[in-house]
Amino acid sequence: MMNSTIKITFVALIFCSALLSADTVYAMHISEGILPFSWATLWFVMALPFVAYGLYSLNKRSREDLSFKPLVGLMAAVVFIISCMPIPVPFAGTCSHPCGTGISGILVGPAISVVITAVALLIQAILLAHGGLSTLGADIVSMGVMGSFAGYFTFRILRSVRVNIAVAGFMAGLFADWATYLMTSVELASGIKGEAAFLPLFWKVLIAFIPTQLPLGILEGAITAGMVVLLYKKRPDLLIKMRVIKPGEVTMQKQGMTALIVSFFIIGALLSAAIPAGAAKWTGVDEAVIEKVAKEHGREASEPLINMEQGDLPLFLFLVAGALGGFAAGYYWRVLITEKSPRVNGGKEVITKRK
Amino acid sequence: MTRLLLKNISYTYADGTEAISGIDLSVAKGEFAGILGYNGSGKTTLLKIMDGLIKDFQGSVFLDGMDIRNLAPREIYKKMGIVFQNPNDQLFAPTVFEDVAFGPMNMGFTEKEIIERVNNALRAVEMGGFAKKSIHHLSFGERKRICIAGLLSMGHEILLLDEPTAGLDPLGEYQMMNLLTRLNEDKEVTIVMATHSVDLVPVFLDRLYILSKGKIARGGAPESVFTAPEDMTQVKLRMPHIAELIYRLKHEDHLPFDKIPLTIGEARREMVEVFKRSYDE
Amino acid sequence: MILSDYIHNKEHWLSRLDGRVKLLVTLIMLVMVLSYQGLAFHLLVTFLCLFLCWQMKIPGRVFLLRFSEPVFIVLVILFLKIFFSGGEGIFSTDIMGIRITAYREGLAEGISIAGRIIAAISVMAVMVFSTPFTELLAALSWLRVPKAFIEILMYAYRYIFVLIEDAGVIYDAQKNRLGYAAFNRRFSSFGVLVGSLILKAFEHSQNITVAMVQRGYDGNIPLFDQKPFRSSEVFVSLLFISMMGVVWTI
Repeated sequence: MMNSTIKITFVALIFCSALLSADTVYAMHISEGILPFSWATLWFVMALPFVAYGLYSLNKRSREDLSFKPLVGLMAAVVFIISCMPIPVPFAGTCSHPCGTGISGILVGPAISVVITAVALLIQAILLAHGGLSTLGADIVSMGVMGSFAGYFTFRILRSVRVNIAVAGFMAGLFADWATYLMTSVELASGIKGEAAFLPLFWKVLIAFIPTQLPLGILEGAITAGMVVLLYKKRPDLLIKMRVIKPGEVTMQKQGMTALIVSFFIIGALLSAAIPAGAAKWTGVDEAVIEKVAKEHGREASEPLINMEQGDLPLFLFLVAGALGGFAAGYYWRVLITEKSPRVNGGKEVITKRK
Repeated sequence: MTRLLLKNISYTYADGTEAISGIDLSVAKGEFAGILGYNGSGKTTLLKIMDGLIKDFQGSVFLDGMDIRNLAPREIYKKMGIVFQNPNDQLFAPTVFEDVAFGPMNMGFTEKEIIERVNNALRAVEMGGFAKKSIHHLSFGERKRICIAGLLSMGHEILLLDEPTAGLDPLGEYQMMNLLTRLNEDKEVTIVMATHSVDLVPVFLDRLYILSKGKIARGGAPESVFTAPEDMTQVKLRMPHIAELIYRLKHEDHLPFDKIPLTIGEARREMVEVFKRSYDE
Repeated sequence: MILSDYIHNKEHWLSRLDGRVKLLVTLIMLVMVLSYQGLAFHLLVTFLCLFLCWQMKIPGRVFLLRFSEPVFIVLVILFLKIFFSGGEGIFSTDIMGIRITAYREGLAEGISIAGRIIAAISVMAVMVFSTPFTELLAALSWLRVPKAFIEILMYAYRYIFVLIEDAGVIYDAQKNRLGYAAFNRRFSSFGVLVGSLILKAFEHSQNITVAMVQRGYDGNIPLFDQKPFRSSEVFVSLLFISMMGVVWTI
């Protein structure tokens, strides 16, 4: 039973990948008409507050800077172009395209990025029939809201723990892309399930996306990283103006890999904590086998020299040692990670302001 | 009547580079003046200062006798406007009509007046009938004309043009210069253009200023500016080709030219005179 | 990439209709298409729209390009629905040792969805092929879409073509210097291209702001007042919608 499910899924995967391999297929947008009226309306209702808030933020910022609206308009044009560029996806033998919303989320913030996405999607629906008017709400929620927020917060969180800007950009692009596809899978499955159950269809859609979107997310991460690094090298003043980095902020120290490893450990710890608490407590082989056999042969186990189960002095000493060690590690964190001083001008960033 | 007067203008970029220094020049009403200079000589910066786009300069700029520092942007831009080198930096609306109408709409004209202004401006730049066209369907030269129309529709009396012939083919260059001359002569538009097309300026312009290393190196009528090839080399420019030819014929081959012509028409007349004299002798 | 904006038949009667009327009729038709449960209405709408597109003499290549993606998506959805939903089996077969069964309910649902998609795309196609983008902008503004949104749409639409040109130049320059020769270089070069486009976007935005300020821009683009509707257009549109409404209820 399990084998045939895997086989069926595998065949479906291959078939869907084959179908999607025409380079005119851009699987990110939900095409016109896919969603029934009720779902299309729901996604519009969900998207509207985000777009409204984005417009509010846009108007507020453009009162301070007259060039901001034209900049946002041109960013929308850039996102349009990026999300139309076909990229060959390795291992999948097909083409897909980046979302671009991670990039705009980093540069202008998630709220305004939602507006940018809405504009880019509307133009795509009209000019290229990618996506549609009826599915605009759904596409805004997946690309604009999920993509922008995932990209923005990933970038900000990583930058707040002083992760290298390239790594932060990579992770932002990666998560923006994957978040978009996750949401698209939810929207598609809920829209086309009819009377069937939601979850099985959701998994099928998600699995169908994996061959292209898993590697594409990595590619989008690489593209986003390349973009932020280029902007930092050529126009750091632009990044400062757009509040991506602060003046004098160091961006290129080599803490990236360490932060990534720590992140994976944290994620791993969280995942393991999510394992249902009802899992049975299994006795170890010492008790289940060794002690049992020894008891059967008249050699019962004696009390341990340090009885950890009864809270005695050695235990207390272990706790104190752990606390002291943890405190020391935290206090000297930066020394342990070996922070490298920035390469430019003895620690101070020189920002050349263009006329 | 002097429309634009610049007194002791200096400007330094944020990185400390001195762009221009100690510039004095004046532009009379109805004049067609040119600012020549090599790339990076400060022409565009000077035009932006004239237009009030750069404010943190030293010295004074007077528009019709009023210091532009004391004028509101609206008051400046009712009379004067700048056309940038790249028309894509200026044309932001999807269609020709919307772009040319933008200025009059901001000035508060009625719809009827706006339509009339737009049509007149388009006719003036010989683009009548293009109102409904999309900007991205226009050629580079057509876009440049629409940029000019966008300022004319506002009733601008002074046009500042940053290299209006840059990027145009040879015929396009002449068409653009002819258009500007017609605007200058028929509609009395005062024009100041930055350029390094030395062959064109003697044909069309009344007065020239040569910028070199941020200063005015030479200024005056074209014949007083284009004196000798060595003088032009010093300012990293050259004489018009025809002028240089006649100069060499005169000074190196000792042919009896009375003056150095700057245009082909003038050269032809001079050469015919010289040949006739030689034949008579 | 063909942008459908280029394909616009100015001679056709649909092109002379008010853009607001066309947008409203399109939106109402989309609502009807999305909310219809059967197939008859979808077929009628598709046939009608395809006929109008044929009348407008839309080039075949443009037409096919516009429909190619939805058609592929329809095929994928049909496949998923037919072979992966439950119910009464129509036929079964063995492929590589795996039992594949086609289900009647899945087929019905798949066809219904397919009809909905094709009908919706057809409705959009008619609107797009008969209405210039600028008219759509004006129609959206009449529908009280916020001015800031319209302004951003306008800049975006205008500069897509400029930035595509810029992107082409940068791409060719990179290609000439082997920027896309090796696999690992490809994505780094693409990242640089994207970064360069953003820089160009920033430079253009600064320059057009300066150009607009000198023409009186104060942060808001002025818009023309809309002309009144032509009563004949309104009447015919209402009649059409009513007729389609009747068919929808059948």
